Amino acid sequence: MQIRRKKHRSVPGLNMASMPDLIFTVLFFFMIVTHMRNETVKVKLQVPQGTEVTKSSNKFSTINIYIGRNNYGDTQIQVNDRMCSLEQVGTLVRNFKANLSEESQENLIINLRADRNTDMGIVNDLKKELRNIGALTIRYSATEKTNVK
Amino acid sequence: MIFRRKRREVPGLNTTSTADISFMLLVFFLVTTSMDVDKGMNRQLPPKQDEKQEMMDVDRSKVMSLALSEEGLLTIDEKPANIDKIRRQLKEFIVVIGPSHIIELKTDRKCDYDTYFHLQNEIVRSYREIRDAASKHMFGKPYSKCSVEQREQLLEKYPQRVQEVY
Repeated sequence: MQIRRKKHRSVPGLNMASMPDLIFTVLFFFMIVTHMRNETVKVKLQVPQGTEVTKSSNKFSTINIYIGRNNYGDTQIQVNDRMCSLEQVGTLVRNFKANLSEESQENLIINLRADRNTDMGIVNDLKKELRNIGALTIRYSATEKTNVK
Repeated sequence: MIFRRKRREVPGLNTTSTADISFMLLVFFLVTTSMDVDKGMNRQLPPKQDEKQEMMDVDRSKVMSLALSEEGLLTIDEKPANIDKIRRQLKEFIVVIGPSHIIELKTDRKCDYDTYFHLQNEIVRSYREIRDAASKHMFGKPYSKCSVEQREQLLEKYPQRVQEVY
């Protein structure tokens, strides 16, 4: 009994063989949860923050309008995936709207993502154009501001 | 040489780094996906024709006129005001005047979108707080938990009447 004490019994460490499986599970979770955006935003913008923002409900079909700065520093409008000027916005939105199904056309929301420093002149002109073509439901995109007060 | 007691075994593949590889994949995926900013404020634009008619029959005493200047300064009925503090004034106006109130909003063309959004945020928040208070008083629960008929009642009592002047 006394001589046999040479081999010291150690507690076996945690088995890390299934660690990659866990990581893959997390990866698949992210892949399922993220909403992939199918168009790239070609203008630089940062949306404003607000406290009254709500999540979009999925039963609306959307047309995204981005207003931001292009590479030369000028304000640029992008509708879905096409860059355009203010005059072309009306026709472009009408075209996009016509390509949707009947049901989607009734439940259309125009998602307006404008940079914080955009002049209101452009935004108001854009809203006038949208009124002219009958796209009346708009949504100002913003991030949520956590209440400090 | 003859006593080959210990047979040489080919060591198996070292798999301790598969965890690292999967971390790399995960990080790559997280970095390259563009997460969509899903949140925003829904608004309804008025249809095109009504504008000319609405300008005619307007009782100026029931109109609160908000104006944003080029630098983003707010004036209420020509008097300067602070955007962060207008909620109380807005709520008073909406509740006192009742369903025939009109909030008129005029923005200078050079004012920045952030200020405008901040103001819209305060307006929407005022309406929400009024409706929440009324719904707690009438039905004992906040507006978001009310049924459709209860919401319709509240909307009738406190409709959103914001008019934008371009």
